[in-house]
Amino acid sequence: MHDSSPLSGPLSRRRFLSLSGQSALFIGATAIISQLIPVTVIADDVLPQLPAGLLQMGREIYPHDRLGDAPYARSLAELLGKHSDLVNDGLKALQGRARAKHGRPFEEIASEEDRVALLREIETTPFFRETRSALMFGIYDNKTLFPLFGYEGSSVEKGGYIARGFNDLDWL
Amino acid sequence: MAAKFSQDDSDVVVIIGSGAGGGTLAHALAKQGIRTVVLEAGKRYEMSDIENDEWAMFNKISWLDKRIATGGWDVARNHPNLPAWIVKAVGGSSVHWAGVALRFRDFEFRMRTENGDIKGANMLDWPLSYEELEPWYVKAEKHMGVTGPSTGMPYHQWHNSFKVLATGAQRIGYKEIQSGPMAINTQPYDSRPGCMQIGFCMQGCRIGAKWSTLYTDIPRAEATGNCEVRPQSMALRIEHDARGRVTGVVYADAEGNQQHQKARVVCVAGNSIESPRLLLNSESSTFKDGLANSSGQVGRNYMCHTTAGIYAVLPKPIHMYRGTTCAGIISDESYNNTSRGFVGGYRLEILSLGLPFMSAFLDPTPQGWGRAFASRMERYDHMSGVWLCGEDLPMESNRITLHGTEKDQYGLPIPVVHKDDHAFDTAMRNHGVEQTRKCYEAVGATEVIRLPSYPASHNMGTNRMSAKDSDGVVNKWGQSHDIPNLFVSDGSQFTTSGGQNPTLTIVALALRQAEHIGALMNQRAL
Repeated sequence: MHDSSPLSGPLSRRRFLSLSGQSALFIGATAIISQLIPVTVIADDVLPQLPAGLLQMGREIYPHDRLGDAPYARSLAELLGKHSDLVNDGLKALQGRARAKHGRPFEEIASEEDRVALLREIETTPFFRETRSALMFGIYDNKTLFPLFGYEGSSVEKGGYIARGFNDLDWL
Repeated sequence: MAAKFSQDDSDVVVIIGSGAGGGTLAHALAKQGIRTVVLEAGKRYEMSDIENDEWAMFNKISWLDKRIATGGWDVARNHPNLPAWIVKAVGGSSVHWAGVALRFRDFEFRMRTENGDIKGANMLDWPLSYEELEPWYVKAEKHMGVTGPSTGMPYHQWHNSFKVLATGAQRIGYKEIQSGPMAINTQPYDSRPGCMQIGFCMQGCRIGAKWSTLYTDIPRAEATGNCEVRPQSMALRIEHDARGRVTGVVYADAEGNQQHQKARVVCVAGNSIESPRLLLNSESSTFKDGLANSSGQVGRNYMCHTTAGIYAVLPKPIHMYRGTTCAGIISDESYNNTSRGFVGGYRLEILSLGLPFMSAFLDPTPQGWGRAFASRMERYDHMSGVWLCGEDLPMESNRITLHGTEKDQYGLPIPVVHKDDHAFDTAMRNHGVEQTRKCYEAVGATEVIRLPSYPASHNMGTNRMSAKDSDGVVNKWGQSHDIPNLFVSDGSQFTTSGGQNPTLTIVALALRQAEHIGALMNQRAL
């Protein structure tokens, strides 16, 4: 389930564990568990690390309050892997604008309207466009999330829809 | 085992492209005992390569070599590197097309006579009439398996999304509401099964219920022993002799090595961007403006239909993805009713997008993100939508040209696709969007969303037919005015776009052209 505070979650949990000397064991256990249990179940425990503000930016681009951080974070991590300079430089510039306008980092700006306004200012930049594109695929071309949008995906292996409700509409 | 012909065999017909035009032509010639070599730029996929996955298939079969869109059309703004959404594979765009198989209406062959000279347009009558093409439409419908009287196959049952649109259409007084004609079997036909309402028509029909040359004309042509298909063979240049007759085609093979195939006749069917591009790239000291271009019309008069997308959000679920993508057509506006403020007609066609494509096309502008966008996406399963397909006036300045500096992997200039709207196109688009809005509001739509035009699936006009040499590129047979053994066999022949999908007309013209080429070859006129 989505935890709306951007400061809690695995980042701080991992930091706590490393401080308490238990990190190696925990991470090792996590790695073993992830082979036994589908990743979607323990998704929130294995979120990739992201530079501050990027996850929040992602959640502003396609805000689905019902969705956990995992699909956003994974898409953004993959994006970082492919375009690290573009993303890091872009994020740095965004953080600069946030501080200049609101005196605080982007992810700490309290009002959604203010965060969105900053992003509208950069929506035609290559950084924003690449981020948006990465998330567009990561959220909407993501088979595990299809059911949340009422989409059923591939159908030929199930015999198509000829016997599965292609014309069952009864509310007209 | 399929035939293989020698590259030095100068008696073969070389066909460039294996889609609705080239594939149909290859088979029709092969059945007459005429040997053909089909040069197809794309790969050969099998039916087992077809997946119910929008992006996977888009990336697999789309023509993605670099192209540039310029001009005032939506596509230049939103998809500057994807002017056209067409296929690079054996079967051409017949692999991904939606199967809508409408004939032209009779007035659409004589738009100049009907409407006079229209300022700003390069309007012209076709050099053939509906009456001449009519028997070929019947043959094409039987050939492809089109629902309706030619085959006796019933039209598709209405799926949920079309039921919603049709109810709204009826409520606003529309009468011509049909789920066809479609080149998608509703019963077993032509050794292919009936439709199972899979819902991924435009990703390739996994069961072959929808007609495509990939699994009909191409393998059947090969089975005659008279046709050799060479995939991954990109035509680069058509060569000619001192008499000005074409002699062969230079092409790049899968490894990128240049090959040459001699030819008795060359038929160009690479769709309306590559076909004129090839002719322009075949310029020589004799033909300085490109091959077959004494009129200067090669590449010009580019048409892609007047289009728009409209999606409505309804109060209850629809699941529009369940079933055929496009089997739902409203045709009341498809006549030449000039009191509406424009010429020509249009169709309203149901169009289903999957969730992935909806996210890409609902709002492709830089502003298409944020809470309002996401809220609409959350209503995906309550959506029904329409694609507007209407007459698009030919304008000389709408054209395919060769880029001044940028070259492709073969060292050839890439194509630039320029399109501006005529005022009548804009008026038609607005009218169609408004009418669609009324249909959906009549069934309780809570929101009606207008989408910008998609990259062009219908591409026409760039080697157009004309009666006079100076007005166009080919005659009523698709034969070049300038070069008797050079033909155009795809939609680039179209003199006007008509207000409907082009494929049935391309197939009818190809079947007719095949008979004519056979007759000319028998007379040794070719």
